[in-house]
Amino acid sequence: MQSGTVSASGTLNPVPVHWTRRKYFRRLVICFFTVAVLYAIAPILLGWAGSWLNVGEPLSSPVDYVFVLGGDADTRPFLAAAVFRAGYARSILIPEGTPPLAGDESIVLAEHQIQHAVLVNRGVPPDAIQQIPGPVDSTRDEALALANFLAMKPKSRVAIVTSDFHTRRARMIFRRILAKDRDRLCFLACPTDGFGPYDWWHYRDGILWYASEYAKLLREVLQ
Amino acid sequence: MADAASSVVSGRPRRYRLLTRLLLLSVLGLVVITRGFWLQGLALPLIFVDQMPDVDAMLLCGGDFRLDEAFRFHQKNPAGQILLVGRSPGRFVRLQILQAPQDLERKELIKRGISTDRIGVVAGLSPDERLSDALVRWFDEHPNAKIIVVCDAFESRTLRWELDRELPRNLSKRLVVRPLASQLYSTANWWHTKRGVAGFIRGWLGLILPVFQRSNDRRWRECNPELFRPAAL
Repeated sequence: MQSGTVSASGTLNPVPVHWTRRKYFRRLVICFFTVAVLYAIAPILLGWAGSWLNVGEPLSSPVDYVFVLGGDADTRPFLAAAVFRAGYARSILIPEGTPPLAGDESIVLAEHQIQHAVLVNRGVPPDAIQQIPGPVDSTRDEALALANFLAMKPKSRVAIVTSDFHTRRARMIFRRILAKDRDRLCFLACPTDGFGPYDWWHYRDGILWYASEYAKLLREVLQ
Repeated sequence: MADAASSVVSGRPRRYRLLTRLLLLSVLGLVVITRGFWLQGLALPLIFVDQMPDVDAMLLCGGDFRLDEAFRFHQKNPAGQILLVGRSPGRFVRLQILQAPQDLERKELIKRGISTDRIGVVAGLSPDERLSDALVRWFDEHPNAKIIVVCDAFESRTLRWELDRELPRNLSKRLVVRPLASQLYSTANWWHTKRGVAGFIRGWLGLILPVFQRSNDRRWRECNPELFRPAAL
């Protein structure tokens, strides 16, 4: 396509070639600097992106229940047990997870079984652990299960324990599903093994979890 | 006069823009319609299948049906060894909440009739040691032995690349990688399940990340249990 300026007589005056070249060169320089600046400040941006996902807040007053969400069973139940042992909760709720795949039953335990074993190991009496019927396979399922449970327990307060990067999405889902009871919920951010909000991009699992968390968050916002 | 001139100038770009948009829409439609075909194609590079020579041992690195595969291998080669990956004891094992994965696998293999002297463990001397270092030691003790490594299908090429990168050439040639299909998904339908999508992303990250990561100096660290209480209260 020919480019240029239109004169008063209506004829098209072509732009000199060196003008176009200069324009492309300027664009190239801007692109280069933008990439260089982004690369230089990438750790700050990525760290901010990681910490933005964490909306957990420490407990300021005791709650009736601590609800441990499924996943990261090697950290979340430990935090729930710490809350219980500090006298900040009466009981711990664990959702019934999906059973292990066929053939794996002997080498893999269902997640709620692991959570139960951790809680007992950390000094929580078995009668203080309640299993919420499931099976649940997503945060949405867990929110629905808790909604059913809370329908029978009016006025009780629940602290929801999940991994730090999962708190924002969990809060969004729980507040949507338990709209009327949203003030009865608070969210505790559990640190994860391996990586944290300020170094997740150095690890394969960190990239996987944080990137998929953003993708799921986007899906949740669009729904 | 100026209006007439500008319509002459802008007439072509307007048509051109409309055509470009139509073309983009058609491409997008084609991509959506043929998604099954190209999603399947995107997963294919993750899978690596080696030629199968006669091997002396089978190393169980991963995969859903690895114990069944080990049993079949034992039936074919009763003298062959089944090797388990000895992982460093995690928090669960240290607190005696769960048994080590290799212990559970060993018990399950014994239950299937494989004698204990046919089961070995390839383990690192320290938690930070790589599998390849442990394999070098195993090969020192078993000169000329060949191993078939079974793993999850979507991680097979990553594993092959890692072994080729970390082992001397004469040793990496003595290893063959065999991908095991998942129970829940395959290349033809991985995008329908959560585990399939995670496996797909993990597989590609395994291939791409080593290109960008300068060194593997950041070690996996377990979170300090003392952090749990202050995080909550």
